[in-house]
Amino acid sequence: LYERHYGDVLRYAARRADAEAAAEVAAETFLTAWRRLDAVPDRHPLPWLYVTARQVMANELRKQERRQRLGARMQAEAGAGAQAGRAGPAEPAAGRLDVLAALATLPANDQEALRLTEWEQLDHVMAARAAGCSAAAFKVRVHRARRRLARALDLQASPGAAGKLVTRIEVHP
Amino acid sequence: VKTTTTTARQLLREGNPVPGDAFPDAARDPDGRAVLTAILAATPQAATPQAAGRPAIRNWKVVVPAGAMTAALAGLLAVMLSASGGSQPVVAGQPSGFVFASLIADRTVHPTADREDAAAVLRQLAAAAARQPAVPLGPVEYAQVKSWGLDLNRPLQYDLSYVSHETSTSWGWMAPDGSSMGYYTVPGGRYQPGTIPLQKGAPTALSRARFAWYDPARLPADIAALRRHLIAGAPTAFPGGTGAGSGSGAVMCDDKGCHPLPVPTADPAPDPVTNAIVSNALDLMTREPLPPAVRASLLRVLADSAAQGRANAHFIDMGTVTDRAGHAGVAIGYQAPDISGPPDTRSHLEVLVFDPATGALLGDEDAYCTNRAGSYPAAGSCTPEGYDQVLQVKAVQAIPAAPKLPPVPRWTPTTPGLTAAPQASPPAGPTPQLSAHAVSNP
Repeated sequence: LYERHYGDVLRYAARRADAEAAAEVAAETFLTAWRRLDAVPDRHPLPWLYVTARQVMANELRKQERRQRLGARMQAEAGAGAQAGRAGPAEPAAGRLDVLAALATLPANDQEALRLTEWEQLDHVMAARAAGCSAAAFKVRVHRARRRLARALDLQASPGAAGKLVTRIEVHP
Repeated sequence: VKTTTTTARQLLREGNPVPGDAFPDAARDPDGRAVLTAILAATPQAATPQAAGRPAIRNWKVVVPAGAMTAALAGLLAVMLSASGGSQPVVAGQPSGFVFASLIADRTVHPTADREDAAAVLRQLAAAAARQPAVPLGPVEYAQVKSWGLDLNRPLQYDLSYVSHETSTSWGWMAPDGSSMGYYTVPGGRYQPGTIPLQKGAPTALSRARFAWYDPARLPADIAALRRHLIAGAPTAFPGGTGAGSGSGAVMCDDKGCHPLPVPTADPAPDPVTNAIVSNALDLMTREPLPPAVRASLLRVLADSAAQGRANAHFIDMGTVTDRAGHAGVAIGYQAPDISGPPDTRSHLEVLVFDPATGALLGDEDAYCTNRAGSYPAAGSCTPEGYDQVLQVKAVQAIPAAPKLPPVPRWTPTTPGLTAAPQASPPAGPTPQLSAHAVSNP
């Protein structure tokens, strides 16, 4: 399980957090799997691992908000790029900012549906498991999300909208 | 030309920040093998609310660092693993000259206290706050805070003091245009001890919006409006809090159907409204020069929450205490279910220490407790995990020039001899007592 999927989980986490945090999330995800081995599906364990990784990240970020408030706020104001010495994902190229900014304007469930299909490359059945819904419901969700993303990209191209959209991705947790 | 869904998909794939072929041998490289070894050393066991917590993560943490750091860390871990719940655990091999913090309010417990006591104390504090003279509110906010934290339970946030038994002090400035500057001493952990990371933030639309939420001159004094403001919280880049797919993680479906997600979650869950009120009120009181009427209203919002007695959100009158800086204070505990602390943790306790004469927040500390939320934490049942001691909060005229600091050497798992590393020089400027290696237990 580890050898087959550690890289998948690491990439999943690195797409949603900085590289350093991603390694922590991946390790904790597999620790949870080890401690709950009976709960990990024998066939197709990847969606289970993704859900667990997502929950690990949510738990950690919740606690991060609660503690070290001063540092957390300073960090947020300073932006991800100003965190001294911290390894993070590569700075997005200018062209990529547009689509990432547009993605960030969608509801959280839509964002995740698109990431699962386009970045994690899961098919609808597997992605539905990772999203915690039926395959039919996921299909509807991802189609809707694609339309919304296209609309957001169009909106971004209109004067006055781009600035607002870009601000949504200025800070990455 | 309208964007088609096909074009949008293609753009999104090209925007993937981590390509699918990244980390090709992650599971087999030395770091990956070290993580696996540590995970396998943990005991696999059936899920129980306690067992599904996070004690074993500490095992692999031990593997990652090297040399002297591993020894020091192992000592700290042993404390947490063997003596969770002890207020002043003693550990073989522990460096002499320090002990772990005990919960500041442990010595003044009065178990008969009920929520009405806490509400009454908060109302008294509100009355005291309302009597205070007005203070300048801007244009720039400045806060100096001394912090201590074990950070054993926040693997994403241990760059400050992961292995530290020492305190860190931070200095921060925020301006209305959204710009900011801050630096803090680092006793250990992710950076070489004694280094002083500097953070500078340029004005952005988001940082301006965030400043507006905190702006003491614009905070409502009306209690209902202030309560709404606290519940709403400061704007973030990711509405919904986490940006990590929030909202769909509670259930998981597999070949056999859908089941509750078997990852650490507290059952029962904390009350989100009260959590937001406490957390955001604390945030404001820790770092903002507040008008007396606003401070009084903040305390009244907390008092109302205490009196409401919502399920899984408990306020406790913890009596009089002496805070970490030696000031006389009164302590109010906020306790909610949380199993993410050391073994046997059942609740999280936030202890807010106030100056009874002014209603000002002196500091706060958080601890994980073995008692369930709603039952009074007996002395020794809580393991303190960190605290913030407010040293100074005031308005200043401008953000000072950034001090010249040496580059921050970052710790990595392969960095040997962390504690023997050369230490950074303190910056010039308005930072008194920037000793490179602050000492002793808080």
